[in-house]
Amino acid sequence: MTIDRRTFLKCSLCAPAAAVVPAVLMRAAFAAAPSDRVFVLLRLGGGNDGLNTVVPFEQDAYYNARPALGIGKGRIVELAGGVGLHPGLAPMRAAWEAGDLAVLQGVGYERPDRSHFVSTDIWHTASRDPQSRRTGWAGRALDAQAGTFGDRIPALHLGDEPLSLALVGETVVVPSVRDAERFTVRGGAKAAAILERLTNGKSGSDILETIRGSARRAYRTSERLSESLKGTRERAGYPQTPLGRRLWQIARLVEGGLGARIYAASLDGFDTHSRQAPVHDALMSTLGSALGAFYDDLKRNGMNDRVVLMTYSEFGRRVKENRSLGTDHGAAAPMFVMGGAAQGGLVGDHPSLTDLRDGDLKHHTDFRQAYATILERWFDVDARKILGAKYAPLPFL
Amino acid sequence: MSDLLKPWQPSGRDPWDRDAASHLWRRAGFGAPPRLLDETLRRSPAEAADFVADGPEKDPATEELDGLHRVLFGMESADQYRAWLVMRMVRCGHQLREKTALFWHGHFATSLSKVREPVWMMRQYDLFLNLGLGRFPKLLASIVRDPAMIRWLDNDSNRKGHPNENFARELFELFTLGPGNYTEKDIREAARAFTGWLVLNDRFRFSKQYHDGGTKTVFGRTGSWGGDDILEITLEREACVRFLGRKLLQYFVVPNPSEELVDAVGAELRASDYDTGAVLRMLFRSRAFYDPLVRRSLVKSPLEYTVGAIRCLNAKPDTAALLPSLREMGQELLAPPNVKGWPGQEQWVHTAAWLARINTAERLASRADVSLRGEAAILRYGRDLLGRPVPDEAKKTLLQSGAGSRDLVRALLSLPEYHVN
Repeated sequence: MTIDRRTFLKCSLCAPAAAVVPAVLMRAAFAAAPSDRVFVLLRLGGGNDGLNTVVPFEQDAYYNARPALGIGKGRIVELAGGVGLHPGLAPMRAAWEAGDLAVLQGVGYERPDRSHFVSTDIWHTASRDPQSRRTGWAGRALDAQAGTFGDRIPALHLGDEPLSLALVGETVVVPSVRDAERFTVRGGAKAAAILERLTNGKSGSDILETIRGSARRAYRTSERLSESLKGTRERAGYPQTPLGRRLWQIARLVEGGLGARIYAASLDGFDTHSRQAPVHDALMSTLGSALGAFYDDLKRNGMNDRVVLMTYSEFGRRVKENRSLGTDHGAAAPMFVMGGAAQGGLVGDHPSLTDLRDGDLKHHTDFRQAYATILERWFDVDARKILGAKYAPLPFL
Repeated sequence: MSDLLKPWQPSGRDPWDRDAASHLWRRAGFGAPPRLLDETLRRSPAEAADFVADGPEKDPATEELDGLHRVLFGMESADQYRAWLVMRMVRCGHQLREKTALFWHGHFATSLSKVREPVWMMRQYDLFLNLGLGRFPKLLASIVRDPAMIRWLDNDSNRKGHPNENFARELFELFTLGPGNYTEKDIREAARAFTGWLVLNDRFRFSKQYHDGGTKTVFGRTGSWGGDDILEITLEREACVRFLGRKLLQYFVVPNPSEELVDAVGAELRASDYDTGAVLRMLFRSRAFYDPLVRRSLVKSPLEYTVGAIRCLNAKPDTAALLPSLREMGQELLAPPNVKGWPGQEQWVHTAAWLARINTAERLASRADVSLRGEAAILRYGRDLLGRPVPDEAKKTLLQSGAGSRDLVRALLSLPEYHVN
């Protein structure tokens, strides 16, 4: 499904269309050279309640569906068009006001799957066919640029969880680290040299070869990270959270010349079936404060035009709150895109709160349109090839 | 019976040797110290499978550890209980019981992060230790009444008139049938059958007041079903034996079992009324299990890696000190990453986990009993860890390195060949 002309024209900051198109092209043209561009992919794991993230606070239907969980109008960080941000996201206001924050509304896909795992895989692979869910969309984007990396690390996953399927390519293999500042081999360079030689074995199975590859990658990544982080500035302005630490590390690695094109990180805990409010409030603050600090950092240190960050979650949650003061698995939800190259503003209307499908918001924008936009306008690669079909790009880059 | 599950007959080319016996112990347990391997080889493969399936008649280590059980519950400390569990894996003679309990922990993956009551988590793990080798229907019936599970999947807020679908969804998707074998409507209806299954004063309690006694249709069968009816209807599904069979095979035998093998194990589960212990006993005797392509086809989990190293090197275990390493390697007991459990295989050895592994090797080596040096150390410790001789190339690298005994052991533990199981 593609965004239609009417929806496009209706979105508050992008009319009239004639004036928008050149602006879009200009922003891309002024942005960094393709090889210097960095993309940050931030997963909100568990199914973020989009309705309490980007809140349609002028609609009674919202408060009727959320008698306990509805966020009072006075607490909302007003954006435009009758929607505003959860108060925890207030630190993102600077990016919004500078025109560096795009809010993609009503994003989802046809016949939404409500399993965390299946839907996460769908988002990561951009595929509905379980048989073809072996590689991720960002991994395939790396494959398409494979010749340009030299001996640099193509992308980096930061987190406690295993490598995101989004970053799995056919040929390119992406390292993951828990903590870029502590990714060191105990025993120093001498021990590392011996261990590295032990990965030179030839015989054995595919799985053994996979382990050897991973081991070599770990030793090499360890070296590169410490080179890029050498003499970095102090961590000021960032919240003391794992996400804050990771975004700070990403900024330092970009600055220090690691050369990775994509960074992936995640924030988990969004599966709020019961007693949602305190949990979701805390998550929004964690997200907002980390993104606010990241934006500020990029801007102050001259990287804002090189970095675009995008958030996503496997699904939104049901419009009507449940009786355990929580929300169950839903469908369409918003995404954020932040960065100097982003065309700020709302993209698409807030989905209707009354015209629902199975109690869920209907999407009007396919998530692969967002991917296509990144692929074509940020990475200069053939989105159709990577996504398997043509998806109309969105006016956020 | 499928040919694949017929008893394995060793031959001159496919002998019952150290490699085969260490394969059995790596899969049915956490590896074997050299002396246990020698003892195993004095039995036939079938006798060895029985020995593994039954466990020793008397086991002082188990008695000693069982004696601490009550103390642990009084302490209400998740870490103390975790250290106790790892110690069981290291010391208990009935290795299969410990290994299978860990399988069920990954299958019914519940985390302290949400449950928040260490004692509830400890009680749940006790179910896996006590019922893990018995019949699956009994374990399942206990798990749906388990307070930790009820809280984990929000069934305590699943009430008549406003069902919470979380438990019913995972019951079908992850515990019994797998994706694609049920509809959203089946989930909604099944959720109603589990309304009123609550926790009161730390115990399971069925509340008639909150239970929806109305008519439900699940998998095309209509009735005023309660939770146990849903379990029964689910267990009758063909998808259920295949789903469970596949998971057992992926954990104990091979990462990508053939459909024929899945069918065969599914049929045995059906025929035995889901007797896990009996099916595992048959597997550990089978041709399929000793297939050379099956050996070393799995990636060691962090627990298999560390506990195996301790057992194979007769190292002094300090399991409490290992807990932070296990967390870094991605396997924190009582805290699987999510309800799907640990993904395993390649995911165990992504770069972050690998670095944690080789740094853990240093710690493990520091507690190993290393009396040998140089080439003798490489040959002996290498064989004990790998179950076969150290590859020539690695041996050459290690000899040239001039490393001391502990560094040699660390390097052997960091050898990619040691991380396949």
